[in-house]
Amino acid sequence: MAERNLVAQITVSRKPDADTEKKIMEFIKSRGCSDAEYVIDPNILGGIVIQIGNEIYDGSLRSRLEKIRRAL
Amino acid sequence: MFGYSTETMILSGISDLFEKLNISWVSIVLHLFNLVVLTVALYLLLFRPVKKMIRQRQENIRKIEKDNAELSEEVTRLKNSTEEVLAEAKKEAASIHENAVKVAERKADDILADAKRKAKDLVERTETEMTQERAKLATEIEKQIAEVSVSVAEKVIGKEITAQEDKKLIEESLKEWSVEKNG
Repeated sequence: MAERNLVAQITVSRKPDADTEKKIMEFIKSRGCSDAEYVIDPNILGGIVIQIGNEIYDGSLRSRLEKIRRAL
Repeated sequence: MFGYSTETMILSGISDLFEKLNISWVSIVLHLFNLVVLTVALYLLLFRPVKKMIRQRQENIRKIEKDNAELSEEVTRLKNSTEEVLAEAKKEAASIHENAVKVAERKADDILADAKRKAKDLVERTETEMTQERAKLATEIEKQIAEVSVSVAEKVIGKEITAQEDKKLIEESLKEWSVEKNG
């Protein structure tokens, strides 16, 4: 996929290590992004939330817990 | 029968006898006349009134007996009529009583059935309300348990998740999303 010069917003609870950052970059590039902007938010508890334009990939622990809450 | 001479002889004999007894024909005739007068007087003054009185009394008695018989008959008829009326009245009273009892029983049954139905409705409504309330309460409790559980989980996870676990979570998510895209 061609890069669309999009900047992905990456929300994590703590700054990831270089290896993880590399994997994140690979992923967002595969979604057409050229760069990433990190936001540290402890409220997501863990995991990652990636926003590319209007698309949101939510892999945070908070969202998982929210799913469990709804299921319960 | 007797010849003229015989009759004359008898009469002559009677005249002789009267003479011996010093009884004259005139005296006999007068006595006879007195007897007749007395008899007629007795008949007119005593026998006829007495007979008349007896006849009247007999008639009165017959009349009284007749009246008695009629009265007795009337009494019997009235008695029978009264008994019939009484029997009819008793029958009617029994019928009215029976009907009244039936109506009362039917009314009592209706009231009882209505009360039972109302009680049943009330019990059913109460049970339904209780079931709904229980379900609502259970849902509320479950919701609160879920809220509390998740809150507790959030606090525990937020404090205890390590960098390594976080990395693993991130990589799992990336892998999952990549597979989705390629799949």
